[in-house]
Amino acid sequence: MRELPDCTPPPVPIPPAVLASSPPVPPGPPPEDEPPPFPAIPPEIEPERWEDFVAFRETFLLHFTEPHDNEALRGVGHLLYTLVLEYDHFPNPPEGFIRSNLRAAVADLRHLEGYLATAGENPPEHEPYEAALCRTAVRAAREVGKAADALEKTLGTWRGEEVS
Amino acid sequence: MSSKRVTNMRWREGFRETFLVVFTRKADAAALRRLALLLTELYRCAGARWWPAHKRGDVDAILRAVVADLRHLRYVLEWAGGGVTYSALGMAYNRLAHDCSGEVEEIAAAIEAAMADPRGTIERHRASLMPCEVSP
Repeated sequence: MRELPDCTPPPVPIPPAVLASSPPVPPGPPPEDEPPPFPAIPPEIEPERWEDFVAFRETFLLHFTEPHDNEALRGVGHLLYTLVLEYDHFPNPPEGFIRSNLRAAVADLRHLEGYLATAGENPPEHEPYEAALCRTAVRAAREVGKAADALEKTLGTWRGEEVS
Repeated sequence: MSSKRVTNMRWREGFRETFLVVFTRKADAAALRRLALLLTELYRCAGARWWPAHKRGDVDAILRAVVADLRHLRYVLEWAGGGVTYSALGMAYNRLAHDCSGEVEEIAAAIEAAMADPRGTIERHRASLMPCEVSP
């Protein structure tokens, strides 16, 4: 388990790129006479702040372009993470904590591999910039797959079963 | 997102595996996966044009999100590789996690570089400076 801090963690700082304006807005369609808000965009993750982005994938949050919705989901993720670290009644992972974390990293890499390969499918013929991005996605999918292969190969097939 | 790219159900799961791994009771992790799928469905079906579109297009936004996820994964691996252990196996896992974090960072940096130079000008220039026998 990750170490708990000695005091209540501070609220998640919202990346400036995510939240463009501050007044709360109710969920639902914006009034037709208002210009659409600036969409929430994926943040740049600083190494020392990686635990602020711990729950939801950015490839998932990407769909939530309304900045306040995006911010709310990040807040829920941070809350769940804090709660789960406080709750110590879960069974221990059978493979041990470090192996389980590495398995989870492999699973996330596989997700990104598939996501990139799908994103790069069928590059548009008449949009050269988008087509170049699609080719980049396909190439990156292969590289991500290789990294996952290497990690998975070293972990082997043992998944925590009893060894007699 | 209005694009039909990445609408395959397989790629819609919302929670990171490195987050779900903490929930070791199977039903809890399954419930969270289900919740993320539900949220996506509700959001995407609520009204296709309610949400502001990404300014630089969907693929650009997708790649930026992937870079952010790769960077997050890199830091998780760095964290996993920095744990204190006194067993040879534990040290081997630490090294593995550390090496893998470097590989993941290289991929993220390569995507960023390619996005900054979509015509491949720098790559072509670099290739032209290479000796013929190793030039691609």
